[in-house]
Amino acid sequence: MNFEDLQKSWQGQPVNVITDTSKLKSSLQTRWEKYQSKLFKQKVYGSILLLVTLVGIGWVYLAFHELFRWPFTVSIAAMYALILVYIFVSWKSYAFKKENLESSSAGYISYQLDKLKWQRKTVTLYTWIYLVLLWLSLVMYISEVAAKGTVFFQCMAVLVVTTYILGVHLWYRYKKQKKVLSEIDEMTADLQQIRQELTD
Amino acid sequence: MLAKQEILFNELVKAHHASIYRICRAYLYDVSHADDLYQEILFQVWKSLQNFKGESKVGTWIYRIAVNTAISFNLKNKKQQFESLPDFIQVPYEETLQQKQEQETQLDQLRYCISQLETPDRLVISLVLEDKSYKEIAEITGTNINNVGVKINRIKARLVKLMENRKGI
Repeated sequence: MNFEDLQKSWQGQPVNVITDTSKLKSSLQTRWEKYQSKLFKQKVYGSILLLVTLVGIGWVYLAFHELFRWPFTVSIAAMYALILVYIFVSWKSYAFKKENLESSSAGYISYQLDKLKWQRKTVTLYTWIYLVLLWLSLVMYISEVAAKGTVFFQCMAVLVVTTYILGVHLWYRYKKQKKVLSEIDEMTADLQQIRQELTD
Repeated sequence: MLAKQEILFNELVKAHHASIYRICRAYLYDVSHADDLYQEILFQVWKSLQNFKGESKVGTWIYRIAVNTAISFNLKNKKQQFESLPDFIQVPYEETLQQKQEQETQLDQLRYCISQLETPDRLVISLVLEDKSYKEIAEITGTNINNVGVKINRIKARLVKLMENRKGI
């Protein structure tokens, strides 16, 4: 047995696929339109939501900042920072939506590895930043709004917010994050192995 | 999509459908998964046509899309991988039945042996089976051209050995 015989046999195998592109086009066109519409909706709805939030928070600050002390300003600043972090993460994630399929396999795999690295960073580091900023903005806001209450009331309000955020974080960390990270790590290991075997 | 791109798409499918399908069959043993992968590759080609700038040869471009889509497809569907029974064999005319069955058996053994290779080796051998030159394979996979020959010879030898062992069973 030699390789040339195998190759001949391989190339002679029946290929039962649709080649009539008019039949293919309608299904591909529908899929393409769905894909485009999903991207468009994500971009438009996301932008509108951010704009409304920024305007809303800005209005709250301008309307009430004279009534409250510095924690109120810190709270508003933390919310703005939160939104800026969200915009940064969203746009960077959006940039990674490009598949880069036209590159060589080694280049494509490197790009996918960068994408996975970014996803991991989003899940780990940026979730932390997001939570700390959210905690800061809520605690500052509550402590300012509840400034006229007793010390016990203020402490309880801060404790409730802290417990809630910590609870959500722990649930996310042990229920969801663990699974997501394990999937990312598994895919990273597979891709690294393929790249190494391809380029070695 | 512009008419020019549609024409290009039609030409590409016409010229490369068989090769792309065989790459899918080499990469995925299961025929239904190979069919899904084939559809996915056509979609990615359709999608990528808008960005095609002609920087590389159309052939290299389309094979890069095919191979890279296969890598992604395999990762996404890793949990669904399994070895299926050989494909359904169409019953030919009686006088050619034995010969057709022998050919189909050999092909199925070949598909099975390819499925026993490592993922990157399956990609490389699928291109070798399509008569791609060392230079083209290096361009498609991003491998150093000096290493391609050594790698291909190693994979070929392993495939032939697997086939011989299979025959001996």
